[in-house]
Amino acid sequence: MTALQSPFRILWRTFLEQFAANESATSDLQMRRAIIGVFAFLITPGFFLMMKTMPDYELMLMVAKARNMPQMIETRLAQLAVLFVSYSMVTTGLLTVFIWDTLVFDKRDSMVLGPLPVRGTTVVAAKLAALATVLIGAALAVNVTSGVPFAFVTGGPEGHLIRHLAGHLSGTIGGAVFVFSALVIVRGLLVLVVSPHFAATVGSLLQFVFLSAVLCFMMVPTATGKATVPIAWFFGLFELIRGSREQGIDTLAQRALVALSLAVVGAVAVTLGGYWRQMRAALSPSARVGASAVVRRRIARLMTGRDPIARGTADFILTTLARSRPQQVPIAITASIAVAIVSIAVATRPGGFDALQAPRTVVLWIPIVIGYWIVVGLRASFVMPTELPAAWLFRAHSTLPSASYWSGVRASMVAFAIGPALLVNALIVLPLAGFRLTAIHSIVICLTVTIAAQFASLLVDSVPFTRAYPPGHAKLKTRWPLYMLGMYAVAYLPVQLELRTLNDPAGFVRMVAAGFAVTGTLEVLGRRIAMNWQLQPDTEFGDDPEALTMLNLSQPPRSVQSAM
Amino acid sequence: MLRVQNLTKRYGALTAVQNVSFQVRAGEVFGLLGPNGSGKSTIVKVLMGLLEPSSGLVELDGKDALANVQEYKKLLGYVPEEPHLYTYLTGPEYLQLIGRLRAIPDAVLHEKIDRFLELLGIYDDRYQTLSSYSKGMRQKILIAAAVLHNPRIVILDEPFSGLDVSAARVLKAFVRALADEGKIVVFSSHVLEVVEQVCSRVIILKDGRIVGHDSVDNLRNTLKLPSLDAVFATLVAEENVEARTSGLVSAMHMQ
Repeated sequence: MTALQSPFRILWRTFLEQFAANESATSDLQMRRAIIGVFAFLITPGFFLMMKTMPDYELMLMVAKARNMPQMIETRLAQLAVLFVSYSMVTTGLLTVFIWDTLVFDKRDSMVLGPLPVRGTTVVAAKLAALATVLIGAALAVNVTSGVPFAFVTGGPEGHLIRHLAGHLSGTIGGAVFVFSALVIVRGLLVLVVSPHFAATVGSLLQFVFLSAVLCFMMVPTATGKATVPIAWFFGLFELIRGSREQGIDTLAQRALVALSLAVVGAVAVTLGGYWRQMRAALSPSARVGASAVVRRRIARLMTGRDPIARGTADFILTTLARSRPQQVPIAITASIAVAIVSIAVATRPGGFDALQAPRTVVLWIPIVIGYWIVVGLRASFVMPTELPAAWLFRAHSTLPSASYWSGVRASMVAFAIGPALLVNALIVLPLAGFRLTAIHSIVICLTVTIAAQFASLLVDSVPFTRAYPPGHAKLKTRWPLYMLGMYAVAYLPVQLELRTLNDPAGFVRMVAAGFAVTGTLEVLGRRIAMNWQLQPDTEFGDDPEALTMLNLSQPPRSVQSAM
Repeated sequence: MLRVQNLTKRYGALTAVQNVSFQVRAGEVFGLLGPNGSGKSTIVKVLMGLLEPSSGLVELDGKDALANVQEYKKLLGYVPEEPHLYTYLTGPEYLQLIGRLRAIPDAVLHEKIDRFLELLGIYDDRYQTLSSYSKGMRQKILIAAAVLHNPRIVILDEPFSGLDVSAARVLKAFVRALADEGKIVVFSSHVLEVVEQVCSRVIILKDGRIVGHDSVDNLRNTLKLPSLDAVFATLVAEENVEARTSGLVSAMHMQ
């Protein structure tokens, strides 16, 4: 006889599984693989940081000893402390924003748990325990891999191994707990004070911000030696426990402890508040259409014309992208990659700030790179299903194959990607290159992003979000060279051509004409390919499970018809 | 006229529907009755053009309807059994999507949607996403979506699911009005009282075969039974209800 599990244990497991739940993970095995992948992604840069920093440290140690300059060692150790604390906080933040939707209680929790005879304290305790499990697991995975070698290299020879390890782990894990708790508070307050919809929107933005930060961190792993609040507080804790006698360290450490306590208490309070709110007030989120969504729909309508099917398809895609979180994640990821690429390009260019004010590829390609990677993210998001059982409506109401559906997909991609690209053009290129060049460049951006979107839409073969995710579809390992090649063709090459025709209006007109010719060709191609689109006969309409359970071996039926 | 001839649907070795034939005239509400697993849903899906029959024909006005599924689907309206909807859309947004897929011009569509929402009593909830709708409200949206394009054939699979009493009364009258308009209405349900009130003729299915096929009155008279419920119990229910009930009670008391 199996022992009964306590409600706390069951709920704890359920909440833990919620963190890893994903519509694209169609089995437990895939989910486990995804979790392992995430931890590998978080741990690898830690090893990389150690390999990069420790040999430098040992070299510097020899120099400092030879020259009798102990202060040099202290300065370097302080820089390393900032580096490790920052890295810990950024990676924990990234992990936290990727489980953003499950950080606090939601309506589904209240609907499922509300009717059950489980005490509220048990539910809240299980949620907090699940949050703590994720936090501790992530923080240890990220920081022990760097903390142990750090302690051996910096503290081992002096006999301060334990102190250095304790300092490292206190500072880094403290920082991680602080960031995690702060994000739980932000998430909870957004739901409680503003709206769940707004909280979800902020989640995508934060994913973008933290992923950009981690990618930049991985690509340029340099310690600045300067710490900003709140990194400075946890740097202080790190240094105090490690044994630093620098002035002001103890104040910083005290602030770290106060901030940490407040954050943890706040997170617990917000979790309690969220539970109370969800159990007492049924949420009825109203669907607001933001200004950006209205603009996107208008742009899409310009492209779809009066075709109602194309318009309906485009509106469906844009609304799904605006309101469904899983579809926003790939776009946030690829936009982060774009930010990382352009940041590295700008950071590693020769010349100072003044050099950027001359027309240069490193500046002009920024909006196009952003637009291009958003298109890549859109393409990836299209294969992620949303509310799969609801896709029956396309089977019942649509008249596939028809070029109208492709037209709607293409229009939505252009409408979604062109706005951010033009916004970046206005924010970055305008102050640096002036109005005339920005205006000319806008034309190039519109053309190149449209071409990228049209090309990507050729690779779509069904109404987005309406199919089950085919396992292994992403093929990220093999497709990266293609993405890079695409970026070269869509962003780098056109900007080179644009720079060559800056003082040659006829040449610029020829270039734009060539761009239109390409879009025209892709348009014809897209409409032809669209005629091969098919609706997937999924399980609901294929092998009917209800029909498959006909195991009734009763007596043969009497037929009234035959009796009559 | 919609005619189904010798329809058979197999899933591998299992036969879900076997040699089913019936016809539905314009202006008629035709009922599909049967227990779970009797093949009702399979027939509905074949009628919808969502499943291909293993053999048999579906004819509309004497022509093979499934030969050109796309044209046939334009004539169909469908209320599914399960209210699966894109819950992040609002009611009007959902209807707008359906209307556009049905190629209804925008000017007409907006007016139609507003009218449907008002008449179904969900106009005040038009800014709410479907996630916050009750089951009955979702059902109303599905009913509006099914008839938005003024279809010639309306297939209703458990359309009363989740509806309150007054909405159910309106829908019953609406189903009859659809028939009065000359539409072909196929009505699949477990609720025998409603079928008795709404349908002019029914087929009763069991294990994928027709075990009864006539008007409700004729079925009652032939079997000399007082109600459709009694007819259904006689034709379909083979198990001893009392024995099963006492079994359920003892299972409930198991420690």
